[in-house]
Amino acid sequence: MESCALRPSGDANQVNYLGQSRGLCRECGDRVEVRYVARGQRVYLERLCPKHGKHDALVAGDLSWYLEAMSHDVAPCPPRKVRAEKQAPCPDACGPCLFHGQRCHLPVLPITNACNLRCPICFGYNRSAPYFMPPEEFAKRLDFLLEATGGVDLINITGGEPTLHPQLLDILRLAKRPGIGRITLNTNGLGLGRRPELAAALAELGIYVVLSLDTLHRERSTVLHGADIVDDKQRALATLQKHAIPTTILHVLVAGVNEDEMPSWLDLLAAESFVRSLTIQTMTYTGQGGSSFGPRRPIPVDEVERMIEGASAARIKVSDFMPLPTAHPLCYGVSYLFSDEAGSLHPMTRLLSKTEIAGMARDGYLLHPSDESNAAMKVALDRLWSEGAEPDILRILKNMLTALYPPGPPIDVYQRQRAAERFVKTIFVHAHMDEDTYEVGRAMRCPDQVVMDREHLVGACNFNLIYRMPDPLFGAGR
Amino acid sequence: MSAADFQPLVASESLGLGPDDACLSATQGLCNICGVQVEAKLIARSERVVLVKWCPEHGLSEGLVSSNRAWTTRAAGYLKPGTEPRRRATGEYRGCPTSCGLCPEHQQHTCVPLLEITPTCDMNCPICLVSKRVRPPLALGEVDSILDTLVACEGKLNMLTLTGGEPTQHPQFLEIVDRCHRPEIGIVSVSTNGLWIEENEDLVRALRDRGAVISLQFDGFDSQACQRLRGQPNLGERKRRAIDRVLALGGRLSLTFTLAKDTNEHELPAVLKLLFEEEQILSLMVQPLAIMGPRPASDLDRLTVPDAVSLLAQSSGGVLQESDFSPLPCSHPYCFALTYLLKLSSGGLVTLPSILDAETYLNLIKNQALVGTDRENLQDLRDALYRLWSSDGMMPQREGLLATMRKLILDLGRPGGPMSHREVLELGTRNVKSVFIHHFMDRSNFDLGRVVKCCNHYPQTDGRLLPACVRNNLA
Repeated sequence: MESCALRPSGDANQVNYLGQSRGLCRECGDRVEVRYVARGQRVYLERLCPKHGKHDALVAGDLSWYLEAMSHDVAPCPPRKVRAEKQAPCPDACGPCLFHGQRCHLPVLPITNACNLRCPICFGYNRSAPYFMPPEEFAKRLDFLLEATGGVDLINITGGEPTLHPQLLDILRLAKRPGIGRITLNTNGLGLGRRPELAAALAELGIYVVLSLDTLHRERSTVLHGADIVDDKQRALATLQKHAIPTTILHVLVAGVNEDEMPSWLDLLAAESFVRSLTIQTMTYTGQGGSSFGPRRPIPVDEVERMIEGASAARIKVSDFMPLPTAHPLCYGVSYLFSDEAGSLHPMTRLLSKTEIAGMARDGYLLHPSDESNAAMKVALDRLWSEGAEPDILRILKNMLTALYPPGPPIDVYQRQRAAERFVKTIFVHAHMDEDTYEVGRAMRCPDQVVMDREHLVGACNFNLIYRMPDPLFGAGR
Repeated sequence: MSAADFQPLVASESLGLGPDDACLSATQGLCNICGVQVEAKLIARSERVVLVKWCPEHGLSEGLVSSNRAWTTRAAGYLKPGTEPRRRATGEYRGCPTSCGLCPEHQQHTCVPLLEITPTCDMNCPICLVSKRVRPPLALGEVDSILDTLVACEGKLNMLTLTGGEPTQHPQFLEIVDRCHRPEIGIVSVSTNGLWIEENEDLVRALRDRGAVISLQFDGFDSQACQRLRGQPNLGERKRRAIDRVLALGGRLSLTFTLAKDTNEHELPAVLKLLFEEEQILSLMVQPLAIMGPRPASDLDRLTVPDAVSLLAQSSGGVLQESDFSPLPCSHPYCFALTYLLKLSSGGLVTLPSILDAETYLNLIKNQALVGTDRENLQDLRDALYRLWSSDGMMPQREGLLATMRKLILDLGRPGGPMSHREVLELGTRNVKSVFIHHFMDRSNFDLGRVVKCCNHYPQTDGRLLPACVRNNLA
C-alpha cells in the first residue's frame, strides 16, 4: 500500500490533526502548546494559550506537499559541540543545547547595529547611537565559531548595515582564514552604489555579496523601506555586475505588496552570470518594524514555490524543489538549476533523483560534489544522451564534469564548489518564523546560527524572537 | 541571558548524542525515571525511531517508538479527520493533558470505551497496566450514569468493553452487563483473564445469551512466558481448557495477546491457528508489551508495531503478508495497525487488502476499527466484492468469494425491514475476522502528540473520559 493513500479532501470543514509541539504566545510570550492542523488542504499552526485563547497561522498551503516534505530524508548531523549542561527546555537554553538537532551550516555574525534605512519590514533593531564591533572582538567570535564547528562552508556577515562599519575591510580580512570556506556579506546596497571603491575592495578580497532586493517599484519601496531606494538598488546591481562579484539576491516576499515581481528576480538569476543564487525570504512579522507591519499574512514555503512555478511559466515547478536536507521542510526549500550561457535554467531534478541531489546537499547550503556525485552525473549524462536530450544540456553537463573532476590530482571541495558555481545556480525559499509560526521542532533543526557572543551559537529564529531583545548590542535597547 | 548562563562547549558525543541521530520533530514526553512531563524529540537513529527526553532533574532518557522508520514515516500519512463527539465533558482547555477528559481541543471521539468496573483481580501480573488503582467497585447507579454520559457524548456505541481489575469479580457483574444492553450500545466485550471459565459454565452461558464477547487475555501456552508475564506457570493449559469450554458452549471469543521480546513470539503461530480455525473466535489483538512505572534511562530493547506486523506475517503460515497491515487512521496512526480477513462461505479466509484495491480498502477501514459494524460499511464491502466479481481481472478463490458475496447480499437485503444496529453488527462479525496491533504507551515512549488523537477512553465516575495512556501513565 502506498503512503498517503488516503487522499484528504479539499473540504475546509475536514480537520486533520497532524501533531503537537510547543510555541510562543504573541500576547504574553509564554511557552504554550501549538498544533499542526490541516483544514482541507491548508496546514496551520494553531496556538493554544490558556490565557489568550486560540490563534492560527498558515504554514503550508497544500497538505499533500506537507506530507511529502515531512517524509523526506533528514540529514543526521547533530552539532559537533554543545553546551555542557542543559538548563531549560527549548528554546530557553540555546547555545546550542544538547537537544539541538542540526550542525551550524550558516553562521551569522552581526558586526553593527547601525543602519542607513528604517525599513517598516525590519525584523532587527537598529540604533541611532551605533555600535561597531571592534575587529578584536570579531576575531574572538570567529575563534569560538571554529572551535564549536571545526570549520564551516561559509559565514555571513551582517548588521544592521555592515558596510557602515568603518573597519569593515579589516573584519573581512580577519574572516579570511583556514576553516572558513566562503565569506558572504549582507547589504542593502546603498554603499555599493555610492562608494565605488567599496565594490573594488570586496572583489579583490573575494567576498560574496548578499544584496537585499525587495522591489523595483518606487511606491512599494517607500512601503517596504520607508524611502524610494530603487535607483540605489539599480546602481548596486550595476556595480556588482561591473566587478563580477558573485551575488545572492535576497528578496523579502511580502503578501499584498510585491508578489507580482517574481519574474524579475528569476530573470536576473537566469540572465546575469554574477547572480549565483536567489533567496526568497518570506515576510516575518516580528522585530522593530515587522511586528507592527500589516496585514499579517505569512506565506509558506510551498506557496512561494507555486508562485515561482507560475512566474517561470512552469520552467521551474514545485516538484523541482525539495526540502533542504539540513533544515526543517517548513523553513527551507531549495532547487538547484543548471545554467547555460544562453540565460536558461534547467532544474537539476530533471536529471538526477532528489535522493542523489540530497546526497550532495547533506553538508549545508552548498553542494558538495563528491566522487559519488560524479558517478551519478555520469550515469545521468549517459541516460540523457541515449534518450536524445538537447545538445545544450549535454554540453553544460560535460563541461561541468570536466571542471569539477579535472584529469590529474583531485581538487579540494572548496575548489570544486567554485568550479560548480559557473554551471549550477540555486533558488532557496526560506520562511523565518515569527511569534505566530514559531514551533520548537523547527528551531531544533535550525542550521542558521547567530554567533551571539564568544560562547553561544543560537538558531536564527530563536535569536530574533527570544535572545535578540535582551541582547545589549542587537536588541531593542531601553 | 546573563553571564551565569555561559558554559563551555563540549563534544556532543560525550553527552550520548549519536552522530547518526537525525532530529525529526518535537513533542512532549515523560521522564523514564520520574514520569514528569518533559520536553521530547523524535529522532531517526538508522532504522529506528526513538523518543529522546530531557528532564531537569534526571537528564536524558529515551524510549523506542518504532523499530522501522519506513513504517512510521508511512503511517504519518494515514490521516482521517477526527469525529466530533456530541458533547464534551470538559468545557475548557487549560493545557494538555491537564484539563483532559475530553476537552474541546481533543481531536477524536470515543471509539472504544473501556469501563473499569472493579479494581479487584484474582491475579497479580507483573506487567499489569492498571495495578495499584485503589477504588471501590462501581455501584450500579454509577454504571448507569457513565453509560448515560457515553450515550450523550456518542449517540451510539459499536462496542463497549468491561474491564477492571477482573470485571467478573464485581459482585453485580451480570447486572452490569444487563445495564449495558441498551439500544444505543452494540457489542459488549468482557476483558477477562478467564480463570473462572472452567468453574462457572453458567456465566459463560449467561454471556453467550446476552450476545457478549469474551475478550480473553491469552499470551500463549509457554509456561516460562506465562511465569514472566503473569507470575504463574502452566497458565497456558488452563486458558486452552477455558477456550475449549467457551467454544463448546457456543460462546464468542476474542483473544488479547501481550507480545514481549524474547518471551512469547514463538507462540504466535498457535494463536493465529486458533483464530483462523475457530468460527467463534472473532479477532486477535496483539499488544506489544508496555510496562508502567519507572523505566531504565535507555529503553530500546523492546517490540513495536512494525515488529508485531512482521512476526504476525511470519507466524501465519502464509495467510497474512506484512503488506496486509495498515495503520489505523482514525486513531493516531502510530498506535494501531490492523488487517481484516473475510470468511468465505466455502471455508477458508482471505485478507481484505489482498482482494480489494487500496482505495476501496482504506475507505472501508478509515471510519472505524470494526469493519462491517454498520450498514453503510457492509454495503461498501458488498459493492467492492461485486466490482471484483464483475471485473475481468484475476481473482484468487473466485468461487468462494462469489458465494460469500451472494450470502452477504441476501443477508443485507433480507425481507422484514431494516435490521437493527445489533443485527448489522452480528452480520459483520459473522463475515469478517480482524487482527489488531495496539501499542499502549508507557513512560519511555509516551508522546503527548499521540494522546491528542486517542479514541480508547476510560470513562470516569465524575463524567470525564480519559484517553487510555493518560489514565495509565498520569492519572
